[in-house]
Amino acid sequence: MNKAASLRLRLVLGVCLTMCALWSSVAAWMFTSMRQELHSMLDDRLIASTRMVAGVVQQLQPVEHAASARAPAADILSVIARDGVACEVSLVRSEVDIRPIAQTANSPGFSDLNAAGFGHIHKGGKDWRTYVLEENGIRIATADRIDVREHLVQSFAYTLILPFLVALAGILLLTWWCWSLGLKPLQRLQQELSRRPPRDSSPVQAGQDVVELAPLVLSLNDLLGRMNAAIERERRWTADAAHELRTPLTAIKTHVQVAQLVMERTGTPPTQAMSALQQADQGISHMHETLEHLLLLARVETGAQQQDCSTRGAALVQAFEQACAQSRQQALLTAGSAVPPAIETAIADPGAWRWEQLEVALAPALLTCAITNLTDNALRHHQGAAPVSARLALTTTGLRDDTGPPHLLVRIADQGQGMTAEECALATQRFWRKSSALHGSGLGLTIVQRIAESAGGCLRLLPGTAQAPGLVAELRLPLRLAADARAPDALTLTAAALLTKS
Amino acid sequence: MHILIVEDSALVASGIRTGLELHGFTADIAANVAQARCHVAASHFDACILDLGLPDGDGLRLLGQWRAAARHLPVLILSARDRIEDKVAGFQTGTDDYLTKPFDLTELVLRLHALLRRAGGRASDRLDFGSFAIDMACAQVTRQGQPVELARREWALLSALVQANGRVLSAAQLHDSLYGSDLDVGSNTVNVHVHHLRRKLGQEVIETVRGLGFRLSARAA
Repeated sequence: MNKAASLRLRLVLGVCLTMCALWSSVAAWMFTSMRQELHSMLDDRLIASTRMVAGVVQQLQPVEHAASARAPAADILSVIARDGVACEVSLVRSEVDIRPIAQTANSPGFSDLNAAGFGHIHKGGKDWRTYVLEENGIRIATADRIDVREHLVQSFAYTLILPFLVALAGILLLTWWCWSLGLKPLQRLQQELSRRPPRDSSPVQAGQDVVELAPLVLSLNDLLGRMNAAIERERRWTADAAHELRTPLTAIKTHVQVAQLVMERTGTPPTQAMSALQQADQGISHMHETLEHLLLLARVETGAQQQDCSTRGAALVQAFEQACAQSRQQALLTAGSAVPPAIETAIADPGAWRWEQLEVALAPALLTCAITNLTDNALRHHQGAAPVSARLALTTTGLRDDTGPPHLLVRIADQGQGMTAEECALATQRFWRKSSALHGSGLGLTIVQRIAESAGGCLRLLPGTAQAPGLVAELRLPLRLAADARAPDALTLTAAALLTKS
Repeated sequence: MHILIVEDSALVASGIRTGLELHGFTADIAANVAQARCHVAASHFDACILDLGLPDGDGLRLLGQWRAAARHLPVLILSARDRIEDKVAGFQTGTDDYLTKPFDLTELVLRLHALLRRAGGRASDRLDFGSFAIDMACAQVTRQGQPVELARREWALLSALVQANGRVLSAAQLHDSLYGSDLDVGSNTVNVHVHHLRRKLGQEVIETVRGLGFRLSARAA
């Protein structure tokens, strides 16, 4: 089965991706705009600084006395330099003779700059954004470091991204919490469905008060109703079939018996007629057995015999013993003058458990019926003087949780011809018989398997080996803790397991 | 003994009737609830074999009505319904026994004998009358250890008187036990069979109660 997808995870991931995509687009847009605005603003600052220096230079010193204008210009430049702007004031005598008269301490030197306006230079291993203004023979060049500008842009970007990340985390947590709250009705519905007994026909209540769930619950109840109606129809059909099939069989059987009685009372009944009647009687018995098996199978498959029944404690052992006794009794009846094989029964010590603590989800009659089918089968095919072995035990083999209730294991072993692995696989199919000459309806093992499945268990048929050629049938049924019983603690279970091993 | 078979399947009913007659019973058949009511109202029956699924009603309901009317007729339900719930309902309604189809004729006869034994208040099917003994289950009479040959009607008459447990049975009741609802039989036939029985077992065995009928003699019993 594929791993179930989480609606909650899907929603939160969806919200996360959507938010990331939207916010990232918006942030990228904002970042680009902001970067442009910032550069534009810094460029404006360069122009403003340049013009301010130019204005001050023009007001303080006429061009002719420019040489003595160094001191005041240096004052204003130091003011500009505090804002991180590098500035240089030069006298322009000709296009090639440009003589700097004042500059800020951080000035990279603008002798290379020719054209007025904005430009870029690389000086002192750093990139600069420059602005040059020439007025009345004085050239004023200002510059910003590009890396300082970029650092400013990054600072703005961090200011923008950090709240976004915090908000995104908050949104995810809130979405998870809200969705958990919102899924509560779905969880209640799931709990009610998982708690329902297998044949509960009452409508599902949970979720009917939630607008989104109500249609689902209504459809579910509708489906349950239709399924229950179908099961009820099957049950009625089985009951009707039982009546309709048994009545003609009864008529045939009664008349055959009457004919036998009449023949016997004639004193010297014709041998062939008596033999024919006996065979007819055997045929009727076989048909009766097949019919009963078919009806039982139909009932087990439709659950007609499983109405929340269980077999608990001593009744488990009793069902086992009763089944063995019934089979032996039946074998004695059918064997006639021959002596049928005996059944050696063994009931294993339940260890840390007590039988009273455990129950199996099967009606006692069905449990007995399943075991009887296995012992009947074993007695039918058993050969030799040794008895058929029937063992009842508790097992935890193959269970994940050793502290939970064990499984009930009924193991029937005969010493007949046994079956191959392929035959074992086929043996639980309806009407399968190893040989058409053999007695039986071919439904016995199918019934056992269906009974086991109805209780969550299984039937395992083990092929014969060279040492033990017979068939071993293992009926394994999960046990549950009886309503008013307590499981033994882990220490007791471990001690019992150690004792068993030793 | 006179048995009422309430069974809608004619094949099954005729088989049971023949089988019972071979075992010394007299049987009448009712194919539905209405016929069963008529038979019970008109004749005397020692027991009833009752099917449950009848065309005009449920056998269980008919049984309930009989029990509500304080009719103590021993009833054996013979039905295809084999669920434990059906059997519980049958016994709770008042049946004396329950047998599921298909059944064994021998088992049915044995169960009927057990039913009649309980209804007749007898501890055993073998009754000792001093000079002679009766085995109700085997339909045998012995006199001083020697078997006495009885005709089928004579046995039916004797077993009806034994079943009455000392009560007086009218000639009409004995007629029912001998011939069922067969009306073509002469009215004097009961007296003829009484005469034959007295000849075989002794005059004192059957006592005539003038104006009422016959009963098994207290001295014999």
